[in-house]
Amino acid sequence: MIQHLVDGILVGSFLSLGAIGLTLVMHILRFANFSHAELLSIGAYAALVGTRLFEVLHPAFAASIGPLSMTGALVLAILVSMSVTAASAILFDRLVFRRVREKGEELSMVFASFGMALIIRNLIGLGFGLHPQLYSQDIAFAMVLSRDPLLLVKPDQVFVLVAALAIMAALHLVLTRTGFGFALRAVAENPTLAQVHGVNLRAMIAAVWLIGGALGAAAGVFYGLSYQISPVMGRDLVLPIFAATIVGGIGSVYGAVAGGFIVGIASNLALVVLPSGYSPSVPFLMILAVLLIRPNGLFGEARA
Amino acid sequence: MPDALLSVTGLTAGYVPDLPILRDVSITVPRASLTVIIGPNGAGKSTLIKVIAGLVPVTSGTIIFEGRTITDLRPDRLTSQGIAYVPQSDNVFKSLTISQNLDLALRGAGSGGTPEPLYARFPVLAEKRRDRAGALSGGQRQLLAVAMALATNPRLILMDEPSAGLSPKAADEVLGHARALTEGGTAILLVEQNVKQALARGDHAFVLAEGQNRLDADARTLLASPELGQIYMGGGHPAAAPATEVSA
Repeated sequence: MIQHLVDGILVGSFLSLGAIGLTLVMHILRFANFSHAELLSIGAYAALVGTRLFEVLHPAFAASIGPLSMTGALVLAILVSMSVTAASAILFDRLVFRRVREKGEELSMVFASFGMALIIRNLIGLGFGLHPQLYSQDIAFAMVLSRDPLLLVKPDQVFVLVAALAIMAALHLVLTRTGFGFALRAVAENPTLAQVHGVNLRAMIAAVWLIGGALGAAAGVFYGLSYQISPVMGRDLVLPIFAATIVGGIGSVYGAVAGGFIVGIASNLALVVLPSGYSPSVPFLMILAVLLIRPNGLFGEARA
Repeated sequence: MPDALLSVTGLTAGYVPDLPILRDVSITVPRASLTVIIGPNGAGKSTLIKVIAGLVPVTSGTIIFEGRTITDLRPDRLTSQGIAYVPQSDNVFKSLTISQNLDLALRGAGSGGTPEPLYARFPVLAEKRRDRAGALSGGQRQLLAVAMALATNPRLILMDEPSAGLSPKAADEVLGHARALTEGGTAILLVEQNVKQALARGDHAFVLAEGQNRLDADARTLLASPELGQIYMGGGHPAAAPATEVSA
């Protein structure tokens, strides 16, 4: 039971990172982006390429850090991956979403995002093969936190949780302490008014994709560290990330964080009572429950 | 007009190119004046202001401000040109506090100014600076919107029906502030449904009907003129209602 709770918190940490990006994009651009989870795949694979490159560059990078299975190369690769994924997200907007947006059809945006998801997923499969891959072949031994009840945590998982919380804290500071943060909130509430007060809408939209891409990349790598990476990881993650966003309330960054942990913990605790084959249904049930009880989500505000 | 601050010439514009809302409209706004635009519902008054603000695309015609052509200006460049725009509704950020709203407007100016002169002018905002703008009354919200417009020290303020939805007393206060601003050297282009109050305070007035110039005259002369009633009551506009008392 406690093991499931701990696992749920760890799952929650990368779901939250994915959900933050999705909630910002959905709030500012006002469409359900079904290709958001593919940014996690791009991030995960960009980090894989980065790791291999850094390992070749210098043998010291190939050594594991302390008790972690991850290497110095992977740490550097995460930073590279965040930049690459952010740039890809901005590029996808320029190439696809901006053109559809300027035609002004909201539903077309949703279909375009479905299409983008399929294209990205299959391009990754084409380039890297359909088999799952690992960042490191080393076996990471779990630390035994307690024997009764048995509680196991891998050092990598501790790193994932700490890093995810650090990224969220940094984002919190940016959103609440900087002029950029206020401008972002202003654009989310009223894009026209923000513009006439001198906020450059196009730059803000690019910034939102940048945040969404960078956080998505981190989430993708953290998912890969916890499990393995595969071209279809986006398909497996899109539903829990949407569930986290909806549970938290669309547009609320703190809602997305809370939603990510709630969905992660609930899915894992459900394993106690449900056969594991049913666990993908848990996010669906949570979306259903939230829409029935609190249609705007836990932290969401009603809007016209 | 030699000292025209803003001159709009032969403006045709609309949200979609083949469906113009304004046709061949021309107006001028002199420096430090209160220029009023009135007309029946659907005359295109608000659209005219939005076109000047860069929010509605121009099909043909020119907009010249201080000698520079600003036709098809990007809306986020408006404040740097010296123009502020106060929309009719949703003109403050309800989720932000008053002080955050003003900071945002000041940052848009790029001047790094402080909100203190604005608080001095509108003491009611100073008292509530930590409150969310969504908690303000309608009249206070309009004052905040005007304060945000003033943050950039504009030479021209475009105001879209600032008295809409306000009590007569609050409407009077907001229009009084508008008049006071022109005495400080700022020009105002005001769209109003509250025709009598606006004309009583205005310098010059343009009457629009069905997207075209109908009349322009000295504001007080127009107020006394029988033509005003005709435009609102008849004038070939079946849906026209006597808008004089609408927002009371």
